[in-house]
Amino acid sequence: MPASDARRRLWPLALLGALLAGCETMPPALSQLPGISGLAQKPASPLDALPAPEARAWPDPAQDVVNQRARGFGLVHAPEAQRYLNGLLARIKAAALVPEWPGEVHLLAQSSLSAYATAAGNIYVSLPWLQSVQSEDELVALLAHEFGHVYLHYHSLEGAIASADTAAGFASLGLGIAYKTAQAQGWSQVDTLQATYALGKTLTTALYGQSQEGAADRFALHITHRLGYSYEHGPKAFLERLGGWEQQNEALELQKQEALKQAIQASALARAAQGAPKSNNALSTALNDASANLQAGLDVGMNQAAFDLSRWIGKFTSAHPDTVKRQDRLAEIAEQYPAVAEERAPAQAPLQAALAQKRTQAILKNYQTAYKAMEAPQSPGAVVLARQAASGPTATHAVPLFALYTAAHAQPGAVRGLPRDLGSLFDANFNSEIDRAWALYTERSTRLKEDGQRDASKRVLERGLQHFAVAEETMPYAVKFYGETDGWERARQQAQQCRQRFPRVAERCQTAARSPQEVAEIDRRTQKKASDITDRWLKKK
Amino acid sequence: MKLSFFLAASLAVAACSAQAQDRIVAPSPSSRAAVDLFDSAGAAAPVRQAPVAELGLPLTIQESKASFHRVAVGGQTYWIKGVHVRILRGAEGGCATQRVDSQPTIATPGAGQNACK
Repeated sequence: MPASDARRRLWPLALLGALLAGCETMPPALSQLPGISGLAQKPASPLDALPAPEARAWPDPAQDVVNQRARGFGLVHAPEAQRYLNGLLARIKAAALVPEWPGEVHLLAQSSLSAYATAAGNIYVSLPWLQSVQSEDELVALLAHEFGHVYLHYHSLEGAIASADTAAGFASLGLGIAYKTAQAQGWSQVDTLQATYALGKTLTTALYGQSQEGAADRFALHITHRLGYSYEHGPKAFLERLGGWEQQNEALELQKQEALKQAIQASALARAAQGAPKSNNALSTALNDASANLQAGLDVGMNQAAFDLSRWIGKFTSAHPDTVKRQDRLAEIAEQYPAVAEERAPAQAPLQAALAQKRTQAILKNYQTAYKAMEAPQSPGAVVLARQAASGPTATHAVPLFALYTAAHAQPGAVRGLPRDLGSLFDANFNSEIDRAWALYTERSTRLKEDGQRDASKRVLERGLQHFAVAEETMPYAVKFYGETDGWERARQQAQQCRQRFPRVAERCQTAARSPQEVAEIDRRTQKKASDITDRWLKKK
Repeated sequence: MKLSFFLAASLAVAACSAQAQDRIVAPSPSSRAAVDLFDSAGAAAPVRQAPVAELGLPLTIQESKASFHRVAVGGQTYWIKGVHVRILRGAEGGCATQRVDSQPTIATPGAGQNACK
């Protein structure tokens, strides 16, 4: 390999190293956040009293719920399951001596193992968590971990991100250039710069996020122990489940990568064969083949290098530390304080009873069926399964209806008994106040717009906006929609209103208000700037 | 066999959400050099200690009882304490809704990384 090529491939690593070294000096705003100076930094006995929580102003929990319903497929209305989960949360709050704090547990319609907490004190847990945990100990560990984020006031980070912005943007520019030069082909300069801006921001905040995860794990250990649950079947099992989930998807990602490599190789071989001079001479043909193979190998190698690099960067920039490290930290604490790891039988009966409740059982089963139909909408029987999913207690839920819509679209011959206009299936969801999901409104209005039914499309969107008026998540889509249907002047006005009402999504609204001409002009300028900077860098080297 | 059951089973095979069998993959914490082997679940004292390299990880869990797991080490059956090992546990999740899901921001800390990339 020529020396210049080798150097180009090493730059990203060198730069990333420098960036990571720089991260040890966190911006002052970050280092002074609650949690960093206290529980997050020094290992403490999980049996010690918790630090007193800091006073705070609570955002409106009800508005928070509406906002979460506007994200993805929204929430699952499963009253009995939620009652059980909220009973557990009430015990966690009591154990943390803050029984009066606001916030409830809500179920996410996501198919992945997902859970998060918001500043309003609400905890959002995806359905597959309920189906995966083996005992109440594990479920309480999950909820206590999430509540730990609320208790430890992790959400202070939100305000601090703004002050870290400039430095992070600066650093990420360098990384963007380096990353670009490591790739022979693929991302455009614009893509690279945009993506690495976000990456740099993440680098700056990752350390805070990672230490907070450790603190939340220790908080969960403290609470579960105090409530009489087992370390082994609680916090330990919870992290092991998380590790299993991550590994399961890592394997899937590697499979996809391998398929991509093979596709690239096939495409490179085809390109080389097209460019090769036609000859009947055996030696010439053999040389062309060898050259094509070499080129294909190089392309795959470059692609692999970029993939490995992005995985490596991901490890350092994730707000969540490596799950194995989290498990080890807890295990070391358990070794250090044997009382916390004393043998306790897992509480399985209450969990089993909650999951066996008739409506809960039907909801879980129907969602599982819907997820399967969505994963393979073209499989024989996917429509039948999706129909089952969209029945009974989930007849008006977004995920089962979307599964039916997707499977019916994928297999037009198998749609007997369904409306000709498949989008009208969503009406059941739109008419159910408790189940409405913003994602279905956007899907419906987008399709109607694409089919030239502008007025109908607008009516759907406006109906959705009536229900989700306080949800910031809806705004960027709405701004873009009105730009495309009513003109970009209206979009700019809406972006201005969005900025005043919802500062957190102001940037997204502003971006959404750009006309196609403005987007093209910004792309052109950004590309030129990136090109100039890259040229300067390469000349210096 | 009911048609719906057959279809569900067929799709489950095709889907990425199959729950793997739990297995022991490492000592816990990772720095642990040897693991106690017991001749029964709940035994007070180990029959011997095995260096981690000798365990032949990963180990399939044959049975679990009272915080102990029955495994085969070197052709012999032993019980291992659950707190001494790291277990890779299966999960019922999948990535079916990934296309529509929005990811939590940094201000909405979650239980782990987003595994559906």
